[in-house]
Amino acid sequence: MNRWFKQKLGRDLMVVLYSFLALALVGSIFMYVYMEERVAANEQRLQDVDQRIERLNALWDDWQGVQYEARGYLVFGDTESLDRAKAKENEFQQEINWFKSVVQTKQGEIFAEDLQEFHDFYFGVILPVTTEYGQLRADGEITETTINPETVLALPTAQRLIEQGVVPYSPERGIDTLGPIQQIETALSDYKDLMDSEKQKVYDAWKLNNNILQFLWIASILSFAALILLFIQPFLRRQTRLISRLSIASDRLLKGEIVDLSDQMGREDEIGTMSRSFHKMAETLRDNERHLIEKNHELQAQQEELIAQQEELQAQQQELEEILEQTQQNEQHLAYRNELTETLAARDSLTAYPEIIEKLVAITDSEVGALVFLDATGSFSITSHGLNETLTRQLLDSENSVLTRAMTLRTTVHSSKQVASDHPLPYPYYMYETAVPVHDPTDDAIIAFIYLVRYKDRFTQTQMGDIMSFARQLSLSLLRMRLFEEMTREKGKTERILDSIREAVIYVEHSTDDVFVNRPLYEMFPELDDITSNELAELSWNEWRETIATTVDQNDDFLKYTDQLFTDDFPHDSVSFSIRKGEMNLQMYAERIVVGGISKGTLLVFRDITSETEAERLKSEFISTISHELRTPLSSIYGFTELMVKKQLPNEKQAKYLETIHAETERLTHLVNDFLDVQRMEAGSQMYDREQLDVEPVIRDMMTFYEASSLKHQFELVTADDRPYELFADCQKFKQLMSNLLSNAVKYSPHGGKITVELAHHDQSISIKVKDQGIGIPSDALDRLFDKFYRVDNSDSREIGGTGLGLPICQEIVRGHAGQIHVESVQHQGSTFTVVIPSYEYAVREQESTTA
Amino acid sequence: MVKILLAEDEEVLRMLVLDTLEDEGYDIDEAPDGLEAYRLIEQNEYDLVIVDHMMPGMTGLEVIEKVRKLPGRQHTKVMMLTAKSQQSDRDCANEIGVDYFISKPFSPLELVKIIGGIVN
Repeated sequence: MNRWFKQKLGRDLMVVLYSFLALALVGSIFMYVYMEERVAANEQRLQDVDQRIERLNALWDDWQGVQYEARGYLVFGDTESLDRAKAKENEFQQEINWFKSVVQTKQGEIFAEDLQEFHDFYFGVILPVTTEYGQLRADGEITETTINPETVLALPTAQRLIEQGVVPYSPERGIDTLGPIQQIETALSDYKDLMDSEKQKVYDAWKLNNNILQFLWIASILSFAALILLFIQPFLRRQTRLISRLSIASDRLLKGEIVDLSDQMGREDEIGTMSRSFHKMAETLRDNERHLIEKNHELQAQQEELIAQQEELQAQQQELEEILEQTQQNEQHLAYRNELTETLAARDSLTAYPEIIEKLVAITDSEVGALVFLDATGSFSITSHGLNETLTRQLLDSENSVLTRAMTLRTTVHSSKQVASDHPLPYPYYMYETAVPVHDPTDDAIIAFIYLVRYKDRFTQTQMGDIMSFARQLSLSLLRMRLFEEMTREKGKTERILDSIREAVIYVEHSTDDVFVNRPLYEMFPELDDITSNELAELSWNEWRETIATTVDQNDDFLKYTDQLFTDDFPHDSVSFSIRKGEMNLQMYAERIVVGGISKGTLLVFRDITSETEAERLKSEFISTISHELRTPLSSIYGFTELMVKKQLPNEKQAKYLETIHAETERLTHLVNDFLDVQRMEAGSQMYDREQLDVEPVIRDMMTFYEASSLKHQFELVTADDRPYELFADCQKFKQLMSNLLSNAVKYSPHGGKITVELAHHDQSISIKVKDQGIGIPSDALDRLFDKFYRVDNSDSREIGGTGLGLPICQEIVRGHAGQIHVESVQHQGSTFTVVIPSYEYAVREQESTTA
Repeated sequence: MVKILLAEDEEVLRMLVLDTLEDEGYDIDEAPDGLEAYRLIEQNEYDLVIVDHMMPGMTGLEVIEKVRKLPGRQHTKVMMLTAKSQQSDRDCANEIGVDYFISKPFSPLELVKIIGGIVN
């Protein structure tokens, strides 16, 4: 048990607390039972008192009732009242009996006896006497108005009662009736007061009870609290002391002191556990500290060693820096050499001479220097660094200059001379010059000199070596540049030639797969422009091919042909296709470039054949149209003749068919003639037999002819003035022109109307207008009106026959006379064809000026 | 009675074919252009439609192409009279739905024979 307490802090405290709680519980239960009992007792008493008061009141009421009835009988002689009073006796007796049964005190007993005594007196004496008195008054034997006690006394009943000694009687006072009544009324009232005081007592007792209870409650709480304080304080003080010992110990531990907690460590509770952990921790800390101190010592030793090493390294570094400086110098020298070599190797080295000489001067530690080039004519050109004009002139012109000597000797020449102090340096010094010839590696001729000058010191062996090696490099570089220039020139020439031809060309070099294209290719395929400019034209053949293929309409043909290019099945034929949805027609063929039996490359050529194809198409279309135009009348002639030959026909039908055949034959003839005319005119083979022609009488004659053949039309010729309208024209062709225009005017005004021809002079020409009031021409047809075989396509014009060649012929005739024809028309109102041809005077003058 | 539509813009040729076929007892409607031809085919059911190719308004091929899209006119027999007699023209016409192809100039009696073969 003792151990159990020690295992955990606060267990003893808990036990005490629980004990108190139990005690308080028991006390509370006891008090509760006691209080309940008291309350019940009080209630019982109260109930008892209440019941007595109630009965007392009832008794009082009964008594009053009896008295009231008895008096009523006496006064009025009412026997019923008397009966009622008698009847009350029993009830009265019952009440008295109850009081007798519940007697508890002496007072109660006396009260009950009083009651019984009074009852007996009243019902035994007063009521029988009263009854008799009332009877006698009713009988009239007594007549007195007020009750006379003597009369009453004289009543036989009263006498009998007195004799029996039942009635207290004194001769002076007679029967004392009022005495018992007053007595009983006092008794009742006294008893009632007693009950009331009894009730008050019960209430007081109750109140006292409550007060005692409250006091007990508060007292118990206070004592409980006091007890708890009394018990807990020492306990807490004990625990706090233990913990504060631990806290003090940890403080001491922090300060590095040795801590002994052995007395607490033996404990079994939490304090014991904490003390043991604390002890362990303190030991670990001490160990660690010891370890750290050792480490620290070790590190200090190491640091010292490091400082020593660092000093050594600094010394080494200094040494290295010195070496580095040297190396950097060498590196700079090498960098210059390297740059020099690179500059020479670069393509644009021709323009980089100043840079070259500058670097050379730097490498060789010279002061000034120059590159002197000899051209084919023997004159010099010079690129110098630091060389002023005087020195340059001396160098080039003086016969004794190192350059001149080197030229003559064709070898390297050195010279040294003392220079006066007015020169760059403030004291007399030597100037060392050297001129090294540069030979053309192909024919050993001198092509240039390297000229360098140093002050104070001569050129060292190494520097001379540098200069000589540079001279060799320069000679090779110059040769390479000359070759490169030649090549560029050749290449430019080839490119210009290839760019100038009309065909587009792609050349694929077999060894490198490089692709070369000429400018017309870009013009032919603008799509390529976008791509190549983006990707710097580094496209492979396949990329070229793919891009071109996207524009080709007959994609498959193109790819199939180009697929064969690099196979043994090399296509020797050409292929045609269109690009960009027929925008251009191309013919493509390929050639192998073979040199010495080895194929070096493949050439693909695109030729623009758009115009040829178009011409071909137009020709084919023309022939197709002509054949169609010829087939229609031929069909009629063929058909009708066959019918006439093979069938039995009635006469009128035969006549009609013959007429038709004739008309169709005529149409065919016209067609063939017109067609031949057009053909001849278009081919430019129409010869015009031109002469001075006054057109007015010609037109008038023709109009007279047409007027005669048409009844529906009125013809009028309007001339602006009386001067002759002279053209330099072929009379037959002019008639053909006018005939076409006039017959059109008649044909296309089927309902008749006026046909007017107007002639007018202009500065250099004569205009002829042919106006009709016919069906007119739809505005959308005006543009195509002069096309061959074009017929206005509507129901009106369909009725009207024609070859569709009349107006094209008119146009050719007018053009043949250097004139113009045009048309204005409003549909359903008429058309006006205007022909403007140079006047005779102007035409002749023009002709003379051209022949001259 | 066999009903035939003749669409031909050349009046003379129309007369030729009409005369020839009427003698054979066919009932013939005439159309002077493509539009009229289409209208008639739309309204009537013909045993044979003869169309010229080159007609104003709508070419014969255009008429047939439209006719073939009409309900119940997919199988109307169509004969084309044309001055275009190249094989490529014929192929094109066949594709569109021309059943017979007669090139101009033609023999009317031969035509009568062919039509007899078709409609019987």
